[in-house]
Amino acid sequence: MNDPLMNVKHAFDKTVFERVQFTENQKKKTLIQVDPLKQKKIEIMILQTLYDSTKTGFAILNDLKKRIGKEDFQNNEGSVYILLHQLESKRYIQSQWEDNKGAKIKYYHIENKGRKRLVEIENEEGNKTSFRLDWEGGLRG
Amino acid sequence: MDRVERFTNHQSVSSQYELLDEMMDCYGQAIQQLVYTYVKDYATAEDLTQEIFIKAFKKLHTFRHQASVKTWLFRIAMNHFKDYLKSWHYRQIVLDNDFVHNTIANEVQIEQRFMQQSEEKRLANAVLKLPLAYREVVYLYYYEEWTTREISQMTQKNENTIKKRLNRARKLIKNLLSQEESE
Repeated sequence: MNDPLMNVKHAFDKTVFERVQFTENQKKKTLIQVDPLKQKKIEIMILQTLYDSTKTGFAILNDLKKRIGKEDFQNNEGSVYILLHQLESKRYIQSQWEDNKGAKIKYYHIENKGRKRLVEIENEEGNKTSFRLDWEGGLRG
Repeated sequence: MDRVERFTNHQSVSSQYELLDEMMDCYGQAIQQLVYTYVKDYATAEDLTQEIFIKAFKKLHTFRHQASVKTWLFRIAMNHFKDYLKSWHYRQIVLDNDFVHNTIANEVQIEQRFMQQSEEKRLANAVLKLPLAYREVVYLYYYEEWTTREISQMTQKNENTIKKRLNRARKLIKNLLSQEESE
């Protein structure tokens, strides 16, 4: 009895898998999302950019792109919104829907807790060693 | 492979980060292919693959050297896919699609399309049409070339169940392919 499935590997490689490609770009996107130092850097920048003005998510994103470099956010804008959401749930920032010529736009502003947090991490960052230890300890726990 | 396994001894965040990088170099393609055979959609396979590696990163401390990195990653991928099946997104969108695909009119269309296809395409499509439980076992056995024993450990199912599924899958595929020929 010959096995009808014998050539499965060859058949997949020659057909459907020709379009399955794990790309460098996917790799980069994945790495950015787990890089704690980079995430922390972005967190600081969001708090800084909101320190004395209210901004939309789009404006925050543009500000980050200017400061960090576009390629980090290319096709990965979603990760910034996830971070904004996290900061909001920690009550570092708050958001509010406002009417703009009939369109609803979400504005973000910083809270006192966020200002305190910013001063705290800026101090921490002044002392690089404790900054790293804090993170590594934090991740394990 | 050894390189990756050596890396897991390091615990610091930066070396974990490098490890993830290595894992994606070694197994990104394999994971994305596996996921594709589950979801049969290129874009969804890409998204799920990224999520799987993020999950793996968060679970690095659970890696034990009894299993190879590849086995460990495949297990995470399978579990992640099961979670995906339970998710709101899948229930809302994909099940609706499946429902449409399963109507008889569609089946006939798909089979007619087989007629003009190469042998490879017919075989690949036939495998993708198998119910999930058979498709998974066929893929792991014939494509990844794992033994029934290894598959049983990975899927936490009895080895006999795996063998039965393989047998049944062979019969299903034979039927599918001969149906087309006779038409």
